[in-house]
Amino acid sequence: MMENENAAPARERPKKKKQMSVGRMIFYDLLAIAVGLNVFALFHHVLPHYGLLVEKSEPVALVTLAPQPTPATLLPEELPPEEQQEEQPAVEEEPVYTGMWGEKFADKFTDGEIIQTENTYQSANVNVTVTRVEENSVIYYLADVYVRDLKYLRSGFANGKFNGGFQMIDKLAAETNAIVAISGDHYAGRGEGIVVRDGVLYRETRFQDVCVLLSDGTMVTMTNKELNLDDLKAASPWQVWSFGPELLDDEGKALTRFNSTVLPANPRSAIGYVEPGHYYLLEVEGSRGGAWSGSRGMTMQQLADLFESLGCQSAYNLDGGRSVGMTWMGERISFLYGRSIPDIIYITDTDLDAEAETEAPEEG
Amino acid sequence: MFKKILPHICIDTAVIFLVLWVLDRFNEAMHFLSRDVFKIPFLIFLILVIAESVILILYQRKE
Repeated sequence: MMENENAAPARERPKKKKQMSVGRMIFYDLLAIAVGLNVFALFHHVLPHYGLLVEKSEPVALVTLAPQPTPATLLPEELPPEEQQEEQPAVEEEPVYTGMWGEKFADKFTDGEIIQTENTYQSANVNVTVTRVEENSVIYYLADVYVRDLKYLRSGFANGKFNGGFQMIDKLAAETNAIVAISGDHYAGRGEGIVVRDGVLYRETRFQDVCVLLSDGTMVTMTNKELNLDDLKAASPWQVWSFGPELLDDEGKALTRFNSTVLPANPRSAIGYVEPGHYYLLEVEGSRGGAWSGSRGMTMQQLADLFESLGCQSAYNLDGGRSVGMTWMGERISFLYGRSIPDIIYITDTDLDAEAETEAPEEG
Repeated sequence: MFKKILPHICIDTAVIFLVLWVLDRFNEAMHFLSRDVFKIPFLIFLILVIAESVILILYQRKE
């Protein structure tokens, strides 16, 4: 068939641009979402966010523990030589108990010597035993702690100050001279939650369940609704942690309903209270972020049951997940999750209040 | 080019925020939705959605 030369030239149809296939488009979108979530996680979890949560209020001292008289037998070098000679006991002296619980736990403390093994530490002020337990596919470290005085159970901030950023737990523990330390309530991870550390009130906005360690050594836990802020301040708390949930009821029985949505098996840290001067610090291993620690973690119910079996009157869950950690003599003994934290709870044999008093005149 | 990518950015960011919303329901203590690290991208997302909507409205008016 011959082409008609007189026919009008056919209109050129505009070239259609080649479209990306739907499958490829969805793939790139999913890739972008994954990248976006990872960037968010980087800023949310990993990079420190200095200054974002800096409080405007000044810290307020709620309580200062009264200095306890120290027996002369513990500090012979402070006495003049003549007095030392006169002090030579001819007959056996009655023991002089010092500190809040020196008499109550007299068999737990030494007369001044330090007895240390690979998992125990005993001195005139503290008695700590750390036990590694492995049962039912769960590994946990339990520190059984006796303190002569509450001033040996302390909290530490990263870089030594409130909102001072984040540090790895072993570095933080080493700097605070901690015998044993666990990760705290991760107060810097949010803008609310009451923060009282070593008798100083840093923040007083509410957040979930609260754990209060009073200056008489009693530890109580309560829900946010039960908390009266004025009563709390008047009660001279030594420490207040805000994370939760509380684990035991008023009779020391494990709760079955918890004020938390993080109930499945997890790495966890927690504190338990048996009686004034006797506490438990707990770190439960678990697997997070693709890292298998050999332990599947504890559910909230298992955690509560454990503290009930230990005979605790109250117990409180602290920040878990990849924040958890425990150190012994400044060395990490728990699994390394790699997250730096803003605070720790630790036991020390150093009288920091006495050190501060001796340093103060020199500064002035 | 920007007009082509903009809807995808909006969809992707919206899905990211949906994921964070769900995570926040499970673990409120992590504060996924209340930190500045969330608030700043969320502000950017809102601006992008407005831009996308304006472009769409103009396109519809042309048709």
